[in-house]
Amino acid sequence: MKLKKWQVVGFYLINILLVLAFVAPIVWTLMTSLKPTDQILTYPPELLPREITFEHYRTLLTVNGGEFMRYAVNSLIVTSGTILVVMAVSSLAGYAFAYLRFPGINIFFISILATMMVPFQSLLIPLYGFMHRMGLLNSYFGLILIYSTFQLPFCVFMMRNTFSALPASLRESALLDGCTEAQVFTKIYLPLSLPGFATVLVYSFMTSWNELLMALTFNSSAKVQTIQVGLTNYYLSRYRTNWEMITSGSIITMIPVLIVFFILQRYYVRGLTSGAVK
Amino acid sequence: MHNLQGVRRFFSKHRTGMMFLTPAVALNLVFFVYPLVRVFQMSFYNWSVLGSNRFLGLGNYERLVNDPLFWKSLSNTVIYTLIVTPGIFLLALALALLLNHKSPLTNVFRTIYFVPVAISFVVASLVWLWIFNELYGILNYVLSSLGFISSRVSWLGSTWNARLSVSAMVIWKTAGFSMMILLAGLQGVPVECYEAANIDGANARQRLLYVTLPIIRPTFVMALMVSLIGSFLAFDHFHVMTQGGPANGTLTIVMYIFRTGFEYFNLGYGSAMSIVLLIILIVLSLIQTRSLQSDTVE
Repeated sequence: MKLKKWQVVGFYLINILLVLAFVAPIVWTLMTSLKPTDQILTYPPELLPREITFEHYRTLLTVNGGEFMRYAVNSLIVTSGTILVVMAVSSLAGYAFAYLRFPGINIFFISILATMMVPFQSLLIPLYGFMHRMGLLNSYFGLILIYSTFQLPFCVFMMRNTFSALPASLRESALLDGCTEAQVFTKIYLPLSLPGFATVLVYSFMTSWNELLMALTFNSSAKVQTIQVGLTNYYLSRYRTNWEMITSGSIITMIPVLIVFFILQRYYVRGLTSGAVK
Repeated sequence: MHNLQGVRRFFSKHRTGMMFLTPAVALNLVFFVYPLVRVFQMSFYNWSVLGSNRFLGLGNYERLVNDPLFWKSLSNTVIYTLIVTPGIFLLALALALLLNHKSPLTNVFRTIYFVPVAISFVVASLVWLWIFNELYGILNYVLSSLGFISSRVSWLGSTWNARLSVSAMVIWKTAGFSMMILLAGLQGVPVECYEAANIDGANARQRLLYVTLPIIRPTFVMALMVSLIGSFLAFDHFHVMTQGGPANGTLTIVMYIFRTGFEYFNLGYGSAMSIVLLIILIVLSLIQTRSLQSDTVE
């Protein structure tokens, strides 16, 4: 559809206003975190820092023996662990659901997809008891396994679609040539499925890094707290009026996920729309 | 397992297949199916952390029906859902229709509207708490300079203020997600459909009503259901922004379950609430799949 000139001007004008509305809250937070302490609690508020200071970031990262750094490292461990587990498990299962046939396979598929319908929030209480008995509370491993379980349906679905989109004849001729199923999977199909893995990676990264409720429930002890839990507790119990800590903490918490999103957004959006529109 | 022989035979016959599936199925059974069965069982007990469980039958459910706070948390959640779902949908639809035009900057705009989706609810809540701050917040300053308010507003101070403020944050945070879904739907309408309509002599209004809307109806349903389900499970932003207050006016179901389970250690009662939540969500999911299926059959 061809737009008239005034429509083009209107299109850009509206979009620029919207862009301002969407980024303003984040920019305002960034500005606050860079202001000298005595410029933060002022009324009327001043938009730009009188002078840019990284003092609050230094305080945040060193306070209490660098505990905020530890929260970040904890999140990094849990997030990367989850990504590895979910990539391995969902590619194996996705391959099976795309190519292997045996009785009962549909029941497994339905059971895994059912995880999408049942909210994990309703399973927190029994999961807590189970994790307690298994000694998995307050451990990286426990949280990784739970995150993986609840990210599996999306990722299995994604990987199955990725494998199904590849020609089945590759597998058939390789099997005829004497390859084993494992060889067909690792040597032929995996290298061709990198876009699917990219989608799984960015989805898993964003979901794990940003998750609060399960981390709060299962990893409550200070040593293994994730960054979302640590930041929440900073606001709720310790630095409620200390906005330099809260704003700099917010900026640090959003940086990794924004970097990953900007690099891999194409794959994230692809996964989102392929899952949603079908 | 009493049928070990059969299981073993099944495994050896389908060894390769089982090798591929075992990790996924194991995780699914241990961390999903097992707790799912367990939560039903626990909901019939006075379940104690120390291990002395007492069977109550429907006692927990009886208590639930007579618990005003449970009903309050349910109605809080429904009210919040009813505010936020249309808000997200309308903003997302406006954004999607706007970005359905090609321009050199369309992709840049799309990415920017999606940025709040990428950050966590915790961060988004803190960002907006600073904006909503009663004494030093920029919102009060901007609105009073423009003459919209005469004195500072306590944005989280009363139940309705808190509901609307949190909703505003959530609309900002999640509209980009629904926008992506709607945009994909809009762009998925095949050009041939318009061409065929043109040959049949359809005008612009008829094309919109009889071609575009019926084709993207499943996408509409999908976008609506995603935010409906998401808002029914709200926890993070209320936990950070209001802690359920003032006077439990923003206590959501998931928050109440969390408190019952992990602050009052009332595991059986919390499980009964979980079952109610689970049933509501499954009904919502079934409505979603049903309406999508009926679309494809038509």
